[in-house]
This record gives sequence, C-alpha cells and structure tokens, in this order.
Amino acid sequence: MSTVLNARDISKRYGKTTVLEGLNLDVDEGSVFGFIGPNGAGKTTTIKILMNIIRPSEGRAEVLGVDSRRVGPKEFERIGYVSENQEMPDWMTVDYFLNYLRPFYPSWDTVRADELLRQFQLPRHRKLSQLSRGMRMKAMLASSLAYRPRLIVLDEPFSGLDPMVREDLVQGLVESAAETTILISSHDLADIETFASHIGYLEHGRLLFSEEMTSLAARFREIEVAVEPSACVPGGPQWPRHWLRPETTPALVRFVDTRFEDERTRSEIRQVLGEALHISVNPMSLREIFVTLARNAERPA
Amino acid sequence: MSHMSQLFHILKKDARCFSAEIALLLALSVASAWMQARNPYHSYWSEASQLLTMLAAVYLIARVVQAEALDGDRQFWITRPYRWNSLLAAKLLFIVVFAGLPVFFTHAGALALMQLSPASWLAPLAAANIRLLIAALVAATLASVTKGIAQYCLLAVLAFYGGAFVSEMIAPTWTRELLPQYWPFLAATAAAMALGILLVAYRTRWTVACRVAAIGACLLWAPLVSVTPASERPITEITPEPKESASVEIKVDGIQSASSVASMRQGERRVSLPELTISVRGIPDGLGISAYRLAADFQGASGRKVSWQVQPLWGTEVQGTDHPVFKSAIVPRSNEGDRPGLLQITSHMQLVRWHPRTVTLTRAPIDVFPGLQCYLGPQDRPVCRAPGRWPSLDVRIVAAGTTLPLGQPLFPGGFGLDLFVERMSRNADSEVTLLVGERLGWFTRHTEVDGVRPMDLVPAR
Repeated sequence: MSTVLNARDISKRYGKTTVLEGLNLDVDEGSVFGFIGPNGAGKTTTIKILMNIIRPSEGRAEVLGVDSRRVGPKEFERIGYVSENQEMPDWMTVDYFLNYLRPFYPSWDTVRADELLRQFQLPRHRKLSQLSRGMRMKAMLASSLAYRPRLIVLDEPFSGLDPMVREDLVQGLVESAAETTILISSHDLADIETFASHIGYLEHGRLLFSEEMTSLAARFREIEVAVEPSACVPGGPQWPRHWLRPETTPALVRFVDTRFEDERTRSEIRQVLGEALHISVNPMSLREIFVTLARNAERPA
Repeated sequence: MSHMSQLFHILKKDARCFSAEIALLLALSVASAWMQARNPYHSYWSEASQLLTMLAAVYLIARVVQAEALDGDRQFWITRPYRWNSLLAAKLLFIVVFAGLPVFFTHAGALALMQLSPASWLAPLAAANIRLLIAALVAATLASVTKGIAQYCLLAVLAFYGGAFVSEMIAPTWTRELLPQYWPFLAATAAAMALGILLVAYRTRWTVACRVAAIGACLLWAPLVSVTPASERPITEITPEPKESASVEIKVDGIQSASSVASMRQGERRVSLPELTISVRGIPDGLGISAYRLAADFQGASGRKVSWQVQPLWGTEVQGTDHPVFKSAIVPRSNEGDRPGLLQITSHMQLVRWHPRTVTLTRAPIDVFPGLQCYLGPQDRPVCRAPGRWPSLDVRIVAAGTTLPLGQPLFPGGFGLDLFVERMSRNADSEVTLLVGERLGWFTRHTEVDGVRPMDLVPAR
C-alpha cells in the first residue's frame, strides 16, 4: 500500500521552544488516520507543515508524493483541508462560496455538492458570517468534499460542536472515506474511534506510536489482579515498563498493559505478583487509552 | 482553471465583495470633480473632497489586498488552488480598474465641465494618473504585508516618520522641496521597490521579511530623495539656444562680514550676522534665473566640516540682465576658532524663459501658451489651468506695477489636476498681462571662498 503522507525527522522550533522533534509519520492510502495527543503536543504544527502553511526547521515531508515545501495549487486541487479556526470569506453566502470555489477544482462534482448541502442542511442563501460554528464547519467540509479530494486533512473539526453536528460531520466523512485518505486530528476520541483505521499518538512533539486501530485496541488492556491480602506486592520500579498507571490496594492490583497478549501477560503477572486469585482483563476505549498515556506522561520519571 | 480565468474569477469576486466601497469611491470622485469644476479657486471643500477621495481609494486598496491576506496561517484561501501570480495580477487589475479609472474619468469629467477638451489634455491626465497609480502601488504593498486596517495604518505611519527621521539624520540639508527633475526617477524607484516587495510577498508569503523590507524601502527612499545629486551639466547645455545663455555668468560675491543688514536674537544679546550675495550677470532679455536652494559647508581649522542650509529660495525669480538672486544672512552652527578656512557654497538654480502675454480673457478658455489655457472664472477672476505642466510652467500676473504668482497647483505632490488660480482681485476689464515662465532646466554651481575666518560666520559678540 502506498503512502499518501510521510514525514521524516521533522522538527519545528520557534526560537528556543521546540514544538516538534524528529517526527516520523506515514499515512497509507485509503486509511483514516486519527492523529491524537494532548494540547500542545504539536498536532496542528505537523498538519500546517504538511499543508505548506509553515516550514519545518528540519526534516522532510511528502504529501501526495510532493515535498511539503512545494505543495501548491496543483496539489491543493486534490487536497481538502478543514481547520477549526479557519478564517472564511464571511460576506459570501453558502451558495456563492461553493460556486466561487467550483472553478478552482477540475474534479468538482456539482451533484455531490448539492447532496452535501442537503445532507448538512446548510441554508444556501445565508451568509457565512450568519452561520453558527457548527454550520460553518459543515460549509467548510462540504466545500472540501465536493471535489472528491484524494486526501482530506482535518484539524480539530469537532471542537466545540454539539453531538448532532458531530454526527453529521462524521457521517459525511464516513461516506467519503471509501474513496479518499483522511488525516484527522481531534480530541473527540469517541468519534474518531468509530471510523479511524489508524491512530497516531503525539506527545511533546514526538510520535509515541502509530498503528492500526485494531492492533491498538488489541494490545491495550486494563488488568485487575486479585491477590491474597497478606501477599507482598513489590513496588512500581520492579514492574515491567509497559504496565502503566499501577494502583495497589491490599487485595487488588490494577494497571494498564500496553503489550497485552493473554499468555505472556499472565506469565508476567505470575513473575511479578505471584499467584493471583483472579485476573480480570478489560478492553479499553480509545479515550481510556488516551487518558492513560497522557497521565503517564504527566507522571514524574 | 487557467491563470487568466483565475485572475478574472478573483477580480469578479472582489468587485462584488467591495461593490459598496467602489460606489462610495465613485461618488466621492464625482463630487470632487464637480467641486473642482464649480469652484476653480482654492477651496477647503474642494481640497477636502479630493483628500477624502484619496483616503477612500487607499482604504479600498487595503481592503481588497487584505481580502486574501498574505499574513497569517488561518486564511481559507492558502490551502485552496490559488496561483500567486493570478492573485497578484487580480489585485493590481482591481486597483487599476476600480480605483485608477474612476479617478481618471472624473478628472476628464472635471475638464469637460470646465469647457476644456479632455482629448487635448490626455497626456497630462495620463501622467497625473500614473503618479496616482504609483502611490496606489505603494499602498497595496503596505497592505500586502499587514493584516487589518489598524496594522496597515500603523505601518504607514511608522514608515513615513521613520523615513523622515532617517532622512533628517543622513541629510540635514534636505529642504523637503524635491528638485522636480528627479521626480520621475524617484517615482520609478518607489514603483520598482513596491513591485519587487509585492512579487516576493505573493510568491513566498514571507510577510515578516517583506514587512521589514517595506519599512526598509521607506527608510531608504526618503534619504534617496534628500541625497539625490543635482544636475552638474554646464549651463550652456541645458538652454535650448546656447547663444543666449553663453554670456550668463553666476557670481558669488562672497562674504561681507559683520553686515548689519540682518540681525537676530541669540540669548539675550543682539547680534549681527554676515551676509552672502549671489548675483547673476549678463542674463539675456527674456530669460530669468530662479535660485532654488543653497547649501554651504565650512571646513575650519579643526578639519571638521560644518554644513548648514539657507532657507529655500522661493520667490527670487527675476528678469533682467544683472540681478542679485540671493542676498541674505548665513547662520553658522559652530565656532571654529580664528583660523581661516574654506567656505563652499552649492546653489541649485534654474533658467526660466519668460513669455509676456497680454490677453483679453473671456469665459471660454483661450490658449495663452502651449499647455496653458486661461479664462474668466467666477467673479470675473482670471483662471489658468495647466494640467500636468506644473512645475514646468510658472504663471504670474502683472498688476498694479507688481508681479504676483498665480496660485499653486492642488496637491503639490502632483496629484490631481494642476491648477493656477489668481488670488488677487483685479480690475473690471478683462485684459490682463500674464508672464508665463517656461522652466528650462536645472543646474548646480559650486563656489568656494577661501580664507574665510570663522568669526565672519559666527555672530559678532
């Protein structure tokens, strides 16, 4: 499978502040890549570098096979970009906005544009300045899906939107996912979880992992181990590094295993905690995984 | 979408977006033309309407350029398939079509209302509008490197005052009255700088660097104005008929120290100042001389050069064969001891050929001189118009044994129609004698007077 986006050793510094450090990223064609991470992790900076809005301090990125620093009009004919805080030509009506953009895109599909307007229930003759935040996002998304781009990049598209609007946006994206590649950065992990095929987790300017959603969901488990109240449970430093957020009570040990494999995990529990009375293995949602990783990062080394 | 169709697509969008502003500019232009035509004399309302028109044009330019702002990373258009050259061309075309042409046509309309044929004034009209377009280009450049009207105004003020400050630092003898022969050069320099920055800004969107470059260009341009060298050509080459000018001699009579002609207060004491006289001798009949400005350097015993400038010498135009052009006091700035030194005087002058014309004015304009038409205006006062010919023409009226200049052009920087208006009341009869001064060319003379004692230059104690 070919990659639509890739970044190699990307760094970005603003003066003495390093926002990104040696970022490596690959987004396969046809995938829906959820780009997650806490605030200030560098998600928006990464996306802006990929869209040639800003330039990296070091490293190189390619978008649709073109150096990100050379991404221009020709590439933007095949890229849809939607950002939460994008400035729009507020004086235009929704209809005029779409009609204005239409000649810029050779692949503009008028029927699809009309469908999107109907699907998103956008008022055609209302000015963009008179639209709610959710409606503006819908208008931006409609204007980016109408030409069936090969790549859609969304930067926090669901931020501050009510569930109904988010549902509409997700629906629009899901319908387009079959024919395009989507890179979406969001805090709304429940929505991403429903349709992302890949997840990349960014923290402090570094990509901690990037893998398929199924693999991620399979290897993260919340483990509860019931032990004898009199058992001597060793301290955290002696635990495997892939056991995160350990909590111990006299009769219960709880942690998150980031490399869960049933046999291996049970074997490790035996080695570290001794014979357990009961082991409970619980799957985790993307939100729980995110919180675990974020909390772990906050913990002093 | 081809470059050209993208250009017109953006232009069409901007025209629709700013239709209200365009209508306002058109209305102001028409009002301004009407006021000029109705009242050819200097009028605050007429000048205010022209100023308002200019401000409206500058505002429109800023708005249209910033509709697709280069500065920032959140604009919708930067991730759309905009071609930078189509965008730049669309903005420039907008300025020409919606800011330049309305002004051009209202100027032409004003001429028509004044019973002057716009067709015969096409060249000066075009020249005046090219000057306006260069100013518009500079405004567009400042708009392209800023975001929002407030930042735009701030940068314009910073650039203007920064330029003036640097200019004062580099060339304190700058008179702020530019030598007119350099206007085309300076205008071309400004246009080239503005266009260069615009091209780089649109090509790269390096707005911070371009903003610095724009400020730098403004800071550089003002000193360029002030240090532009004067013409060094011999006087015989700049007069059309060498035979006439061959006998012209310029003589600096030197220092007459401790003259009591001029005096001033310095501290608590009355002091006398030295006086310098520059005379022009052997001026042929019909030719005059105009001293424009004069600067003097004195290098005293310490080797330090002291420069100062005598006030610009407006109003010294003369005719005749032997006439002192300048006679005034010099105020030096430094005491250099008692040892004699070298006084260098540089004077910029202009030859003027005077054409006396006695004409009977009517309400219909009559040709008085090529490029100059006069007629009886409101209250039967003579009005002369020379669109585009100022400052190449200097028109004076002879009345009651004295010669008085006919007004000034509106916007001395060369904006709008140049207009000469009599400011004095005149007799009821419509026959007037006009002196039309045809400015022939500039020249510079350097004169050195050695052995000047600093005490000659320093006010006597």
